[in-house]
Amino acid sequence: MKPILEIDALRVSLPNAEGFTDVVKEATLTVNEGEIVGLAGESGSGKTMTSSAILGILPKGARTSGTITFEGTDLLSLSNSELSRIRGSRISMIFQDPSAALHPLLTIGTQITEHMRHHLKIGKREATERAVMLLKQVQIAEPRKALRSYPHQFSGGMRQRAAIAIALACEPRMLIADEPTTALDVTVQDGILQLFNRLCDETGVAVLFITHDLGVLSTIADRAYVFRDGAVVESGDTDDVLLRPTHEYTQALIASRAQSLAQERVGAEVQEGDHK
Amino acid sequence: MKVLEIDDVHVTHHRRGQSDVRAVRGVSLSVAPGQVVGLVGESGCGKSSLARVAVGLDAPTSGTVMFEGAPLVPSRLTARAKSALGLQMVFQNPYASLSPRRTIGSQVLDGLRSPVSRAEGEAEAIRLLELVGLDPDSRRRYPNQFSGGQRQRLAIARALAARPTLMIADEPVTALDAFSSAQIVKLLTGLVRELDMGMLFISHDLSLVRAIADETAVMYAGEIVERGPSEKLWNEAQHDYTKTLISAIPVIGPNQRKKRTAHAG
Repeated sequence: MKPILEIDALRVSLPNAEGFTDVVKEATLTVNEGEIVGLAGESGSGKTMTSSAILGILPKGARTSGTITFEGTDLLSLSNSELSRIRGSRISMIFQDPSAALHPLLTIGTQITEHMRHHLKIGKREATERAVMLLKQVQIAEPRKALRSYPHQFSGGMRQRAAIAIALACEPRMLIADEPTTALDVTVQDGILQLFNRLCDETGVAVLFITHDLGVLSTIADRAYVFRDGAVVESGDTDDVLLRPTHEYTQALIASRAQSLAQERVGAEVQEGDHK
Repeated sequence: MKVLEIDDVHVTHHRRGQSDVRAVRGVSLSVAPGQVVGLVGESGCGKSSLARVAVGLDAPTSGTVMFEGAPLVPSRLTARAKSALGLQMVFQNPYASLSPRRTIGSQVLDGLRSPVSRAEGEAEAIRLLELVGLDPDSRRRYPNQFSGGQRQRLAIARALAARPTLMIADEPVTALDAFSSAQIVKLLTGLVRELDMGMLFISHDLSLVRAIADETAVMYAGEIVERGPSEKLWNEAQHDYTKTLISAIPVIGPNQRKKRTAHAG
């Protein structure tokens, strides 16, 4: 497999009152073509800052060191205008809250096509036809009707599907999905995860999937990286990381899952029963 | 004795120019002291409409809500009835439910039923912060100096100030990551036992409810479709909707992505 993204010794520092704080200390990771790679960790572990560094959308005044190589180019050395040619066309982003990612006053159709017309330099009619195809691909029923709809007419799951269609519009080689299913109901989440799986297999797009839910990680990722305090503490095939974790921190994360807690509770009640 | 008894409650929302929404359609539910009852359902199933009625924010369209054996008086734009102060609520978003401009020591005392002297207040703030596992020396600090999990502890401390006999927690850990949410779940379970209060725990996450609730009720389209002891419900779900909910919960297991791809192909 060929790597599409290679991050080496990435460090990100943000300014604060006393100087700088390292929010990413030592991140090294690889995403291969057509692969879904998961980043897991708690709030504040540096997952989102790592993905922001890839897209060059870090907060103002942030300092970076190390390299982020995407398709052979070091993204950290690019100017903002050079990066904007990659953002949204070669790499696309999907956020947690689809209602915030979509413009409330523009139709879904406008939001998908404006993007394509800008990056792919195609006409309105061609863009509309492509938009219909994309909405079919993300399994939105009646795509032509959906193009004329506004985001508020969609459910949460439909909005996320529309946001994914927009992200796919310019045939990116990589998607960065930051907690894309966290705001959704479990049954809806299941459908979106299946969609990612299918898209990845059908189009060969690579996905960097950020999640704090290890169950989601297990369902979706080929390989996984566990972040803590801005550094990777464990990485490997998802099954190795989750079923045979070697780092204490990964083990603690697994033990704090609701399912582990429920099992722990049943265990405690059985023991209590034995003492009676 | 039950601390909360909801009997055949219906909630219908009227919309101008459109048909009515029957959000809750005949739900009965009760909570005993020292018991955690879980209410599970997805967006739009009516669980928040039910919660608003259970806590006395809205009146039910029909049916009754009894708190400590007496009918719960729904609040209007006035202060809540004194008899309803033993019923407290913890909300989903601890960033929105705390004022950013007041010290946490003063905010946890908002829940007190009657005014206290400065010294008594100080002692009570220390007791409350210790009860939820926060450093009592932090009482002069402001909410922005606390993490999401710590803020939710503060919201719980404030609810406990009224010495409630019933707590309604509406998605209290949904905004938190797995570590903080596990800690809050453990804290709530401990408090229910320690203080012998009842708790109605509302969540969309059945695996979380299984970890905290003694009894679980599954709500779908305004009705409770299945209920029972949490562990039994999890292991022997009868209703199709409960089965769907359980099977949709992502679990850790081998080769899931490869298996899925194989099925799809």
